Amino acid sequence: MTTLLEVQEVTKRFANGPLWRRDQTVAVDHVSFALSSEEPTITGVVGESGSGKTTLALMLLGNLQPDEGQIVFRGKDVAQMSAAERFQFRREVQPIFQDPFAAFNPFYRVDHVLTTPLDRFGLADSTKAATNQIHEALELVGLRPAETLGRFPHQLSGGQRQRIMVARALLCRPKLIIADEPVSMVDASLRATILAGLQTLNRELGIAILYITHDLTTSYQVCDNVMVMYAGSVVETGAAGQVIRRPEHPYTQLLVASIPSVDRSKRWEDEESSEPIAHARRAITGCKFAPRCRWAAESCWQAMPPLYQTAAHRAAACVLYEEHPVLEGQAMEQVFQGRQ
Amino acid sequence: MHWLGRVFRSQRLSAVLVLGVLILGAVVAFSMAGPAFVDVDKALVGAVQPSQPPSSEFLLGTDSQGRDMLAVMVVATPQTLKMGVIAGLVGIGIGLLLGLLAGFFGGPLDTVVRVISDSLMTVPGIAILIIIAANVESMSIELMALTVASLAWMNPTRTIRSQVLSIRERGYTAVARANGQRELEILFREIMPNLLPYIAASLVGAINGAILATVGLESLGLGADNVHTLGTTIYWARRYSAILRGQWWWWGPPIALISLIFIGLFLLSMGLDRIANPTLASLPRWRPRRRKRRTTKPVEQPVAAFSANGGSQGTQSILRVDELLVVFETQAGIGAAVDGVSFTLRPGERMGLVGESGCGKTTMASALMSMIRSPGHIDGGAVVLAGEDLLALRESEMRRRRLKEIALMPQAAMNSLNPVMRIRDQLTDAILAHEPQTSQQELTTIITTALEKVGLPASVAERYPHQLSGGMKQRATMAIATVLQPKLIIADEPTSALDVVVQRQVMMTLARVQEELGAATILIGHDMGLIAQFSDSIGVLYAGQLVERGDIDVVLDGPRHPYTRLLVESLPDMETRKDFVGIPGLPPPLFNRPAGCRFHPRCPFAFERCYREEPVLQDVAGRAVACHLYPEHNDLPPLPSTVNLGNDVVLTNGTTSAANEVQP
Repeated sequence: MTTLLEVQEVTKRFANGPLWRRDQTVAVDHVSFALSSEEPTITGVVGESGSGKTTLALMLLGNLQPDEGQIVFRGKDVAQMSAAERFQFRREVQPIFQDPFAAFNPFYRVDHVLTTPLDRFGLADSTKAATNQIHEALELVGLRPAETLGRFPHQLSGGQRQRIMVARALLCRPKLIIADEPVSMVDASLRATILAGLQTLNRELGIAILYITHDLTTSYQVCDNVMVMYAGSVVETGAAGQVIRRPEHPYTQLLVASIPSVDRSKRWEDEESSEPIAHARRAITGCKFAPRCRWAAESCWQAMPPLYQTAAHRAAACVLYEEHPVLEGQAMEQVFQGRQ
Repeated sequence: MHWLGRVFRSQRLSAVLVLGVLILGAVVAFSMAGPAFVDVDKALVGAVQPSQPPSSEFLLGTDSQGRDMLAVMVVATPQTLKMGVIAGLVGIGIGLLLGLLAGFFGGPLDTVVRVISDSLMTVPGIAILIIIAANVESMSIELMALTVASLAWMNPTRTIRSQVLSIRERGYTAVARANGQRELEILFREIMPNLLPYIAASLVGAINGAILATVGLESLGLGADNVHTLGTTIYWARRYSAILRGQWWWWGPPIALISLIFIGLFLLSMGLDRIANPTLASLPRWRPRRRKRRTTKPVEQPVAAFSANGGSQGTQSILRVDELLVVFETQAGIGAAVDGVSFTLRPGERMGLVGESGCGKTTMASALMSMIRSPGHIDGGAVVLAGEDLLALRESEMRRRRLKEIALMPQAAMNSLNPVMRIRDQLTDAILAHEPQTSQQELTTIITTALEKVGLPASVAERYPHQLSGGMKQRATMAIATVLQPKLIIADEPTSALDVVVQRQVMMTLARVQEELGAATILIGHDMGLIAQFSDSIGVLYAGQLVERGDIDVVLDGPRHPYTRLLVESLPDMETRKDFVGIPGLPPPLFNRPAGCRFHPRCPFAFERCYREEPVLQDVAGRAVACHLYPEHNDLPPLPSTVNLGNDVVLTNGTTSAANEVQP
């Protein structure tokens, strides 16, 4: 497969605490995966706050340097790019942010964020061509140009703004879109239209999408593959349908069981012991999830288990599956499936 | 500059701004037009009769040198204005440049600028000015202005720096980077325009300060040489004992002009400030306070108070909300955020109150607590808790009911904890406010029990909020809300900031604590799943009105109101991957609600009657529904195959999709 993006053993640490008691938090811990450019997919990065998913996104956007490992985009190491290459990289890897309210400069009409990229990246030959591209992009995400352009951000709803942001990313003609919690600040009733827009971009225009979220339900709905992150490490990965509907790792199981379902026949079970008081963020030698795991055995405290390939399209980092082969090089693309 | 107009767009010119401009305009016009009426050169030389009071020949009299005071004023006023404007422009200019660069680029530049400006700010500026002014030979207006400016840039630097810091982190600068904009362009095109109203306001303020400072110096004789300014005129009047001699026409006019300039600039900066801080402009319309003193009505059967099982029952309810009306009145308009809501709650019942943002859920919670803030007020209805109408109570009486009878776990509850108080002290305050006789020993017992109940170890009492995780903080607020064993707990999106695992744990704890207390609970939220897991009954709010209310199993099994149905269907589920369903359009704005049924513009089933007639709650299949489809229908009809909803989404046989997407 030709790779669009290759993430090799990427690690990021943050130092915290006063100088005399410096602690290190490993925000992203040796993560490796690759995205194909032949059949671009939607890949979910799922995790709770503090799992490292946003740090990973910042590194993929080139806004943060990894401490170890490298990120290779279309054959070039992002850290070694020249200024011109970096400018091109910035156009081809586009972000969509969480907060559709802060993303707009209140001073300008919404047109500003749509015309600027065409202008700066030189993507339109004439004003007329630019207008056409903007109209097409807006229509593709389900907005009517006449009712959108010329307005100020505060005149539009969160859902409409976020769809403008999707259109904006689209106008840059990206190869990869990194969407960091794009619907978490939008009413549930409006989420559908945004996610449908992202899906259209992937299916019809062949843009690879990395969908970063804490919400397993929407990732199940839109993603082809997912990686579940816990404390900087990927604990389970593979085909979205399999991972989320029949989770193997105890953490994924806990996550899935915690989703409040509208189906009253699936009521939450009894109250569990409350969450650990001081969430263990320091380097634990063993499995990071062991302190919260109900299956934790003696061996779990020895070393972080590697990803074991449990089926053609899935892998889990848990000793419960140690009879399965270790995923070669821990490179997750081996279990990723194509478009669903 | 087309964008300049935009800064002030949609801002109705405030009276202060207009008045300030008029006053300044008059002063400027006086000094500009003056030379046309007065022979300035000749008059300044003097040699007419000295010390004359105002007369028809010399409108403002003459000074002891025989100068025409009117001519002196015509000459002096522009000099003073010029000095102020130069000093203000230079001072703010330096401040703007340093503040922008230091705030945006940070690093060593920021440190240097901060150290210099902070240390200069500790120096008493007026003393420095006096020293400089007293020791410089041949002081000119410009030099004077620069001297003042050199001591006036620190404040704007600091403020602009901190403003830039806050904007720099905002989303749109990140978007600008993704759009290919360079750093300096981001600074000047994205960040600076948003600072313009602030810059304008502080410029006017700085001009005013500079004028006052120079006038002060000049009247001490420390001004520019050989120039007539308003300040030097006062100095000479003082030198020649004009005050003692009662020659008011000598010192009166300059003081009057300075006062006019001061007032004009002050009003102008006040008006600009309003534009820079829109919150000042959205102050409520002033209205005489009318405190409602309704007498508690005897408990009568409410007309349309539906309880969970659809029937109306008055007697064994713990809470009866009756035609509750909360009105917001601002300059933008008048609207009812809660519009005639009635329902009852049994003791121990868990009710979920659901709806999109802007439908009145949080206003409802505040109204139940009698905590509606201006510009809103409760305009009618009753909230009867255990037989007592809370809305008829005085504020002092209501204060005693809060926490003890009715408690609120607010949205983002973690921020409602006091960051500088230990959890123990916050609990102690809550208890002592209601039961001041409690002994230390009893307190310890009560606090330990309260914390244990919500799943926290007793040691948490000694901690500060920042030492707790998000889930623990939420539990601590739960402990405070339940420690006095209220009859009703209102939980307003209590877990919206928590991760899904912690959310579940906190909600299960709330369910247990509530059950042990036997308190009725209203859970407010937009997550239908959370409501389904927690509640016994559900109320669906749309645009301030209750549209469906009933037992949770009954309602979720087959929603009868189209809004409820669409809300349920917009939740993605984990069973099948299907097309996304959403609700097209938005809830109507508070001040502009449609006639008839408020949901009709978004409703796939709307027919003619819905456009003109407002539906009321009626019994439908074991619950209450406000919809014109009933009683003609038994159930919601299947969704029409393709309905264009006139917004930006087309509804296609149960799914919504982008308007231009072709359905196979």
